Amino acid sequence: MLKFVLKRILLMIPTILLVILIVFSIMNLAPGSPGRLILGQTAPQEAVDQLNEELGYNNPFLVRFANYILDICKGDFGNSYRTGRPVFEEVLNRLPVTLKLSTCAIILMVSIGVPIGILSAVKQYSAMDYFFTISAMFLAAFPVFWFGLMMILTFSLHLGWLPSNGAETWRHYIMPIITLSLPYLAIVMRLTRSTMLETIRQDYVRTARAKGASEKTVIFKHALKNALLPIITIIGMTFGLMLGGAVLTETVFSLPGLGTMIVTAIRLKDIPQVMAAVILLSVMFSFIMLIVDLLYAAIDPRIKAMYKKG
Amino acid sequence: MEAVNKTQTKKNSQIAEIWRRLRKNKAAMIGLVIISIFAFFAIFAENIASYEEFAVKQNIRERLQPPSSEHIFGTDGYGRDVFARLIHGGRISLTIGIVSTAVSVFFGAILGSMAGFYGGKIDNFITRITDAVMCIPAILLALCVASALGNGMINLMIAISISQIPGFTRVIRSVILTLRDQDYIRAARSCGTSDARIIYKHILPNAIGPIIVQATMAISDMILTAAGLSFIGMGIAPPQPEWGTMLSEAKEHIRYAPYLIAFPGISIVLNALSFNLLGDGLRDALDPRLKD
Amino acid sequence: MSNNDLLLEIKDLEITYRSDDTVVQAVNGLDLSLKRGETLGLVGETGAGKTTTALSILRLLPERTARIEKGEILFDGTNLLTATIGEMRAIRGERISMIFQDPMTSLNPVLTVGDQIAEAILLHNEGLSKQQVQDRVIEILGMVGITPERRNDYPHQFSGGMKQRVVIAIALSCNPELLIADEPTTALDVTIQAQVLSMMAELKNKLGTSMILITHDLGIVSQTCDNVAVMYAGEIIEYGTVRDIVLKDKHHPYTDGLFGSIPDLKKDTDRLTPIEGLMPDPSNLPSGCKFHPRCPKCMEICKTVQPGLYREGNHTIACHLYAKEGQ
Repeated sequence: MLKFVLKRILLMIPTILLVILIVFSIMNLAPGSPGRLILGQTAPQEAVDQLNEELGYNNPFLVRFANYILDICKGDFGNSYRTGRPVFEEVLNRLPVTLKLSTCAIILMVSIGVPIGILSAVKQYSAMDYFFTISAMFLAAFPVFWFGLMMILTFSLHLGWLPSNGAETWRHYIMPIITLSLPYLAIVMRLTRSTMLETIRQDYVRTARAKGASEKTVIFKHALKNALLPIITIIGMTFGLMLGGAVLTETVFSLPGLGTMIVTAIRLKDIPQVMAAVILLSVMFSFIMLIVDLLYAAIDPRIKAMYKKG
Repeated sequence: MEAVNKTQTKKNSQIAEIWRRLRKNKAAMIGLVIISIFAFFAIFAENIASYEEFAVKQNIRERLQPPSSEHIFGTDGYGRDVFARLIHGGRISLTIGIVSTAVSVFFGAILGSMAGFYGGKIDNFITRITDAVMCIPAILLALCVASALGNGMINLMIAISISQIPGFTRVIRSVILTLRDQDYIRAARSCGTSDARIIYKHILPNAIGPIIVQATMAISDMILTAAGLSFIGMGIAPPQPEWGTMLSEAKEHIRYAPYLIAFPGISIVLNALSFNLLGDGLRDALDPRLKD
Repeated sequence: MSNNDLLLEIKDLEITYRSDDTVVQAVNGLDLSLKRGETLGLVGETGAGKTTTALSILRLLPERTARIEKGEILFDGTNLLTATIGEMRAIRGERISMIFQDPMTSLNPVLTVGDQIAEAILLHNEGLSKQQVQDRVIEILGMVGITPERRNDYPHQFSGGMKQRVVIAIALSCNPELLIADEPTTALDVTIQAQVLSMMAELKNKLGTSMILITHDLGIVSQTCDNVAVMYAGEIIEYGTVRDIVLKDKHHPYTDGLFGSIPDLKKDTDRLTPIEGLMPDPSNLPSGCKFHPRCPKCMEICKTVQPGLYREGNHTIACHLYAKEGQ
């Protein structure tokens, strides 16, 4: 089993390399050389050229990319064009806020979305089902940043209950967490519901009923156990979407996390900063999907068998 | 000749049947109606309220006026009529949604078909790249591309399309993989039918269903992503009245003119919701077995 | 006493399926009875209503779409259609068991085979210790020819035929009085079919179980059943002992058609004689005798009047051809 885990982790490496290549290539398209961006528009051309030479800007694309990878292995993501300090430092500074936001949002999303989805499926066509399904459709269509603004409007300005920006106390996190989790909660709820509906329709559920099992046993022991696997995948994929939504949420609530860092860095054309953050977030997402895969192998006996052999 | 006519009538009645099933779905119909209303306003935006005069020209004396009979949705921080801006913004949003989706579907179909149909190394190569791209959260990918290319509608559309191409590649690839091994495809091949003809006559008609459903949902995603990027300043820049941009400008006045936030937001929600409802309805109409 | 003898009695059963705007008449006035220890073959093409009838005995029909319009299903004197759901659950698996057509999907993929058998046992025997349950599981697996170690294996590790044996093991684990087998061998290879059927016959005799065997295969019927009921468009159109149906020469034209469409090893035929036409659309059934549009011997009266029953001993035929001859 350990062999399987190691094998999967090793397989992830080429994918991550590809991810870095893609981000690197995209940012490479940006106009302006590093020298120019660092020294500013007014700096003399010779200084710019010299700096570019030092930074290896004139090397061919693949050489630059290879150097970038080698540097990353040493933990060096380059220096910020703006501050000159190692980019990774700033990333690590900002990471906790984003982690706190995303983790709590996911917990909220799963603990509410999944049970409601299951409930809706079990009581299909009931008034409750209709209510939840329709609400979910609405919530999924809400832009995360608009919802944030509406929350600020209501809870900060009108009612004065909660602070609208910054991240000093836990109170500062309440609205962002709710804002971030709601649209994705809706998605998870709908997908959980449809997965459960499909599972309940399976033949082996009918067999369980024919044995005389109670509805509760049928739903939990038979249907849910099988539905759990696709549901875990859904949660993993939604996490990826949520990381994107975190950028918008942080912006609305002025939280000093990776999201706002990326936005500022883009505005200031601080390319190493942008790359480091995007790569880190992508790697985080890949790891989540890896965990999903491993969970699959741990829970589903069919997959477990496949990997015991290889 | 008669055989051709028969297949044509069969196809027509199939479409009629799908439309009939769709009509029964009230939610989908509501979505369709809402989309039509927005589309109407988008198409006739210029006739209803001239762009230059109402949406863009600043009128500082009339700024920040709440909804009234003269300005049904009020005016914004620069005195511009919010309703006029909304409908021109609708034009932008719908254009972005539909064009970007079309582009994504096009490239996704090509890549997905190649991967699914030819398999082997080509499939491997395309799938690996698709998987890698999908590791990057869609908004971040669009953000990167938008930042590299700069502001503007075309750049925004390129950025958003790219972020959705992997999704379509996957869907189309999996449809083709399922169909490729069907017996009737093997039969066609054994008769000597060319690859292109097989794709055109047998595979595409079956793939159209899932593609249409996915595309409809994608339009909704694209509208949301475009608004999001514009909101943080990476998409459509002021003074253009994209809804996300309008929200970003409205943020300053949140205390005294909250209606500025309500209207663009509601427009985004209604649009995204309608396309979702329509997409859901299409999915049920195309394969009724999935419903009960 | 005939009351003790008769295990199951279905009287005038009528079942419809409703969806959106269509009403499907699946079962139309069905009468059927089964004695203890008897094996009844329920024969008919796909769509005749056989599975619906079977599911209705255990009240396993989909709640929203299926409606039992009228009728009684008397099991050992109790009307199952009016029993509470708690009573039904006590009966399911313990007094009446059902096995379904596709063994590939009938077993829960994430539970071991032993667990699934144990579940059936525990549902109806609460006081047993873990060891007792395991012993019984091993005993049953042995009865269906599966070695004890395999009880910790998962369904995907078994072949189709063995999966079906597991399904049968589950069904017989509590020694039910009645086993309803819905096309138990249709999804299996012919050789495995023979194995499974002979095993079922053996067990049936050993445990004294009554059985309703649903099938469209006349060969199976002639080998395993005591009595046969032929079903068409939701009705029983012919009933009798296996001898009546297979050997005698008076039959409902449909039964004739069924037999006639089987190739005969001894006869030299150029073409098979299938029955003309297709099964009627159950949301739009023909008037009078439901077989009349396809019947080679159709008469005027068949188009408008439902045929009565012609009886000869235990052999009944619902056809105007015979009903007028003598009642």
